[in-house]
Amino acid sequence: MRLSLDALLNKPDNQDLALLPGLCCQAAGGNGLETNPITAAWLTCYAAARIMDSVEDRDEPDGWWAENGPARAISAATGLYFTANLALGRLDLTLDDPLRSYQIRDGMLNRFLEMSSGQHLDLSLPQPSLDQYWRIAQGKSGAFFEMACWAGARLASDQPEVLEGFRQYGRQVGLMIQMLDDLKDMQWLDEQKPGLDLKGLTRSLPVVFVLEVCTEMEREAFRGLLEKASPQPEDLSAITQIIESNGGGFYLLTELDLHRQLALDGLEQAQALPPARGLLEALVDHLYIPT
Amino acid sequence: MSLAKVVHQLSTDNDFASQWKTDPEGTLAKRGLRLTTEELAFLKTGLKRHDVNEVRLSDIVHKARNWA
Repeated sequence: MRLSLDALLNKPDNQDLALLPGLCCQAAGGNGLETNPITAAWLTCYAAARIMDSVEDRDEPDGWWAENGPARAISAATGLYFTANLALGRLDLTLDDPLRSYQIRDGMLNRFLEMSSGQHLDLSLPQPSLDQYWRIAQGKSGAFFEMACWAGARLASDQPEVLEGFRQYGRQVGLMIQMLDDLKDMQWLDEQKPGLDLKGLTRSLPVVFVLEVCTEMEREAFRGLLEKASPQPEDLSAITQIIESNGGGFYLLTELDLHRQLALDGLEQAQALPPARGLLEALVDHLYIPT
Repeated sequence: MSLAKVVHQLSTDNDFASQWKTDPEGTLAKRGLRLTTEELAFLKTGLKRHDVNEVRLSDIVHKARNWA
C-alpha cells in the first residue's frame, strides 16, 4: 500500500487537495495566505515520502534516478525533508505568535513521525489483516491529510473542538483516498488490463476483506488465484466474482459512504465557515459521488 | 472488522440475512457482533438501496470516476 498521491500533483481535477491547509484556515476564520509555509512543508514532505516509498517498495525507478539508482533518490528525499523543515521555520516570520508557530511545527513533525510508523508497519507485514489495513491507512494517508487540515486550522483557531473537527475531516479524506487508490487497482482488474500486478492487489481493501472473512479453504483458493497471477480473463473474472459474492463490493461501498459522512461531520463539529466550507464539502463529493 | 463480518454474513448466510430483515440489532447481539452507531446506520441505509451481493466493483469505480 503506497501513499499514492500522484493524482494530487498530476491530475488537475484533484489539485484542489493541495489547497487543504489554506481552505481549512479560511474555514476556521483565518487568512489562507498565512498557510503558505505549511502547504510548502506538507507538499515537500509528500514528495520526499513518495520517493522513499518507491525505493522501499523497489518500484520501477523514476527517470531521474533510474540511472544512478536508489542512492540518488534517497539523497534527494533527504534534501526534501530538510527543505520541508526550513519551510516550517518560515512560520516564525509569518506569525507573531511563537507558541502557535511552535505548536504547529511540533504537531506536523509528530504527524510525519506517525507516517513513518505507518510505513514501517506496512513494510513489516507480508499480508495485513483488515485491522492492520486500517491502521496502516490511518498511519499513512489518514495522518497525512489530518496534518494538513489541522495545521491550517490551527493558524486561525485554538479551540479544541474546532481543531478536532478539522482533524477528523482530514483523517477521513485521507482514508477515502486510500480506498479510492485501491479502487483504481480494482478497475484494472475489472477491465482485465494487461500488466496488472495481481500480487500487489493483496494489500488492497477488497482483497484484504476477502482474506479476512472467508473460510480457510476459500482463502487458500483465493490466494492461489492471486499468486498464479494469471492474465487469463477467466482467472481475473474469478477474482472479481469471489470479491463480489462475499460482499466485498457492498463492504467497500459502505465504508466509502461512511467515511464521507464522517468527513462532513468533522466540518460540522469544527463549525467550518463559508465559503471555504462549501469548497471543502465539494472536494469530498468530487472525490466520490455518494450513494 | 465487525462491519466486514456483518457484511460477509449478510452475503453468505441466508439465516442471518433473513433474521436481519426483522431485527437487525437482535441479530447482531445473537452472534456477538457489534457495530458503531454510524456503521449500523449506514449499513441499514445501504441495504435499502442495494442487495449485498449485487454491488459490482465496476459500479463503485464509476462513482469514484473523478479519482480512479
